[in-house]
Amino acid sequence: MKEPIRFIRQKIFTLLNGNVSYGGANIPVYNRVPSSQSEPYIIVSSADSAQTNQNQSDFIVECITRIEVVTSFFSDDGGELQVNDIVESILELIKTSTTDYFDLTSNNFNVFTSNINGVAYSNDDDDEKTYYRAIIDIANRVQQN
Amino acid sequence: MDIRVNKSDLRKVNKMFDKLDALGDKGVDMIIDKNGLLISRDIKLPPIPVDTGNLRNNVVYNAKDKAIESKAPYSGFLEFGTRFQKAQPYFFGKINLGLKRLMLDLNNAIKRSLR
Repeated sequence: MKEPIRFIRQKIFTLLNGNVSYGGANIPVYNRVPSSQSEPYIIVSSADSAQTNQNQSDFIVECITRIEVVTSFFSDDGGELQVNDIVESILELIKTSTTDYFDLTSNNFNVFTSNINGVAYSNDDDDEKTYYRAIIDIANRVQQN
Repeated sequence: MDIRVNKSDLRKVNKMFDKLDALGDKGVDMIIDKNGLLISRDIKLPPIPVDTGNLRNNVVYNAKDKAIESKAPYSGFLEFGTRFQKAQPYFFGKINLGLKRLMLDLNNAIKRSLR
C-alpha cells in the first residue's frame, strides 16, 4: 500500500502558490513557515490519513489535508474580512465543481471524493497584533491503482 | 401524538451507533493526546517570554488529566500582567487555536467512522 497524502498536498500547494492574492499582493504558501515571514500567509499540511472502505481488491485511503490562513493587524486596525476573502479565494481554486477531483493518475492514484470537512475561524492577540486564522480541512478518498 | 419509527430506519440508527462505538475511547483519547502535545509544543514557540527558559520548560501536557499546564509559579503574572509589569500573553491564545484544531480532528474522526 502506498501513501498518497503527499501528492494531494503537492496538488493543493501547486494550485494555491502564486494564485492567491489580497489587495494586489500575492499571499505566500508554505508547509513550514520561515520565522522571518510576516502575515498574511497560508500553510498547507497533512492532518491525517486512514484506510477506509475496506474491500478485497483495492487499497482505499481517506486523506485529510489542512489549509491554514493567518492574517494579522496591529492593534484594532482590521478585522476578519481579509481572512474570509482569502478563504473564499482558496475554496474557489480548490473546489471548482462538485465533481472535479484532484488528478493523481500520473502517481497511480484515483481520487474519487473530495469534501470540505469544515472551516474553523479563530482570533487571538499578543501585545502588538491581533491574529485572525481560518483552518480548512479537506477530505479526499483515494484509490490506489 | 404517536411517534412511529420504521424498523429499517431503527436498524440504520443502531448501525450508526455501532460505528461510533468502534471509534471508541481509545481513538478519541489518541486524538486528544495528539492535539494536547501539539498545543504544548506550540505554546513553547514565540511569543513565549524567555529569560532563563524556566517558563518554557514548565509548559507540559498531562496525558492522565488531559490537561496542558504551565507550572512555573509566575505563569499567571506573565499571561495576565500585574500592576508592576504588562501582560505577555503566551498561553490561552494558543490553547484556543489548538481547541479549534482538536474540534476539526474529532469532527473528521466522527464523519469517517459514520461513513
